[in-house]
Amino acid sequence: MVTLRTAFLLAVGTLVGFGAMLGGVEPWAVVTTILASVIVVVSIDLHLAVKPSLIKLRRAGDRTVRLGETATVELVVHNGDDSHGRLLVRDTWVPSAGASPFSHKVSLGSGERAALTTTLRATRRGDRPAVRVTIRSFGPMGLAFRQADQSPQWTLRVLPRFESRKYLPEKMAKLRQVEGLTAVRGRGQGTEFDTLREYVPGDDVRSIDWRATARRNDVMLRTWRPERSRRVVCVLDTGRTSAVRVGDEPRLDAAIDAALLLAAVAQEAGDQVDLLAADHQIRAAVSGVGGRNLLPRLVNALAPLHPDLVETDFEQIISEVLRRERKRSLVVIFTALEPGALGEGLLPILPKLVARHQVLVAAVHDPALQALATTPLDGADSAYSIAAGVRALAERRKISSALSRSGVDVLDCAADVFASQVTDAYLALKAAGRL
Amino acid sequence: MSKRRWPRLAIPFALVLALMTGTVVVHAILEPDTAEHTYLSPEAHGSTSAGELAELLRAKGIAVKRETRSSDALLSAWRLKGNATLFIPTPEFVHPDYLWMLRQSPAKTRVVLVEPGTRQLLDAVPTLGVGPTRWATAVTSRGQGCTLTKAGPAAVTRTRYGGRDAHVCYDSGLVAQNFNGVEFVVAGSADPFRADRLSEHDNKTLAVDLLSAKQTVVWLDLHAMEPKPKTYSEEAGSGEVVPSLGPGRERTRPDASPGPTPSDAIDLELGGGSGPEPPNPWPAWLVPLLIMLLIIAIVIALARGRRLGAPVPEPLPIEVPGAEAAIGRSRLYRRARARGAALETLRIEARQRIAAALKVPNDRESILAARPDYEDLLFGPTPEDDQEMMRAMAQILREMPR
Repeated sequence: MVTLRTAFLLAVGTLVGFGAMLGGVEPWAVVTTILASVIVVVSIDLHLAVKPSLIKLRRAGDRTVRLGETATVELVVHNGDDSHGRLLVRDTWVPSAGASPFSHKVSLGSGERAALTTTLRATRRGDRPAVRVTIRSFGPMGLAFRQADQSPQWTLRVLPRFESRKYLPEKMAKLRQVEGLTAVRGRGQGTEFDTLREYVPGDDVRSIDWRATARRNDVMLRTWRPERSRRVVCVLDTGRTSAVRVGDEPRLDAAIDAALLLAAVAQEAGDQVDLLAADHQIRAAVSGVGGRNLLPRLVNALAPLHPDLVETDFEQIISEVLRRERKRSLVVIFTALEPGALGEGLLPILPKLVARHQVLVAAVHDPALQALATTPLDGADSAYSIAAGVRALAERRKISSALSRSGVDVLDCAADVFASQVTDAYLALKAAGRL
Repeated sequence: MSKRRWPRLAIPFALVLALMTGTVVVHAILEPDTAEHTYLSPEAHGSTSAGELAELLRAKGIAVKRETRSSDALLSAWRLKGNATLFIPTPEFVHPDYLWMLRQSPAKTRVVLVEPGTRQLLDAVPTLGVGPTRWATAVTSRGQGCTLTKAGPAAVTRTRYGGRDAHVCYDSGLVAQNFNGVEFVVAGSADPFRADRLSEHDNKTLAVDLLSAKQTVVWLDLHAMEPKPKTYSEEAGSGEVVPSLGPGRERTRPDASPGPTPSDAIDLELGGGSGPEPPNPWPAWLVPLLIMLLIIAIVIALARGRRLGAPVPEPLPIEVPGAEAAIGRSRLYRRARARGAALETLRIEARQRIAAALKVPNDRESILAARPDYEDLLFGPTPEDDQEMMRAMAQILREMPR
């Protein structure tokens, strides 16, 4: 294919030829001469251009990045041809990968290699694949080029932002308080036997273990600690209600954020955290992972999740939870308080789950509803908006109370404090020994 | 991606090509086959033959003499000493040498050629030339001062002819020219002679008029290429009848001699008339220069048009705006003007909150027992118009505990 230089060459030729025409040379002979010589020169240039298929490509660089941070992926270009390569290389990624720059200009001698750095600033969570590399190889005169695509594979996994990390120190402090390690007043009030120790004045006399006191010559005291090695199951609903944008992110992202904070705290508290994400089929499942591996595994499993416009099949989800979790667990269901989705899907089968597990339904409050219900009344249209908003809120309250009646804790709060509130609810349950 | 792009580019072109091919094929099928033995034959009765025309001529007292060889036809015409019409429906099968001999026919012989091509015309009447050919025969009117026929509009204009001092009729579809004392008549289409078109328009009159100028019609019924006529050296000693018209002084082909030049580029608008060509108002370099500029434009388009890799498609994330269902419901209320339902929604909410605030059961009696003044507010009638609804709503919103 030709370049603009060829057009420029033709223009210069035409200008010179025009002079010749005015000078009396046969016009058609001039045209033929110009075209023939340009075609010859362009063909030679095209022939001398390095074949794009002889360019070898390899990638290296980041595999994962947190949403909002910048990743770099290197493209190593190796000229496998005998001649000097003048290349224009475009590293094409999906648009949401936010790749820049658009293209790289590189001049490579025979056998040389160069690393081209592509900076990626992803705009979305999930797997962002590199699509192809387009190589345009110019001839020495820059009149013509060859172009071909290659596709060295690479996928950048964009992990959730995990903005609720900022709550982590506070939650850890609360946890230690619950465990009775630091605070004096809120001392360990668990139900699980921990150790025996000697009585010091001021201890609760009700905790004196008289048998132990009888065996030893000292007054012994039982200490208690909160339960450890309990199980927490995070269930994420990725169905249609999770696609609703709350603020400027989908409800699912708020749920992921909250689930990560909860998992971080629960793992620190010594509990086993499992995860299940599903709509009408299971999208992600993590179970039986403990210790330091847990959070990376969860983040990896949650990163590619995206909302789907399908109705969530709660029956399947609950039977899956029941199948996986034999022991009593805290099941946190991240969903939305929508009368249609929950009233017909979740409510009828909830008793089965409640019979075996402690259940917490956590939903992000949609501020748009509140805004609709409190529209200033300045016309018939706003009156209808208020009525619709009030009705939606009333329905939410109804479903919320229906859930509460069937023995489920319901958490309904705004997106910005959602993660914190979910973890607080967990800590409260832990402190109350209800796990 | 490119898998879907190629058909998208190719299909329109393929369609146009198929349409063009189809049209050409259909046109070729509908064209009569001149090699068919019945084609414009005076003895056959078929759609493309001319038996009916021959009968019309006989009825008019014209003798129709059918010949199947050019040499015989030329001889017959020669013997009739000028009182003959030589009708050649298929000039493309007549050997060029015989075509050339046509001009040697006796003076005042009329030769009628049906749609001859450039080559045939060059051999027979070099002063005539072929003009543009139409896709189908057009019906035209006779034109002013046409002495060939008295027929009205007829379908004879397909190939147009012209030449200097030619007698032009039917919008150049019918041209007569005296050449070497012989009257050559060239018809631009076979339609007026065909049996199936004879009755259309005024074709019948035209055909009869053309062929009835003399007492006899020598009809050359020829449907295949003929061998070259023998020369004197070839015929010496054979004793057979020589298919030639005897010696002529000028036994050289006209195309080898400077003779009259063919005029194939005729200006039909000038009615075959001639004059010095007007000088071209544009300089000679204009068209070449424009073509160069066009080529430069195409090269720029090519250079700019090739993109560095195709655009990348990506499924968009699913996004549902917040409170979508509630906003939809408000629109439904508005469209249905559901004032009653809207107000009732608010009243139910208000009853609940007020009952909770008053710590009474949520039923009509209990609430009214505690606050009798709320009767109209909470259990009032359905509003009649927007004003009433809004007044009631404003009051409820004011009274309702948060």
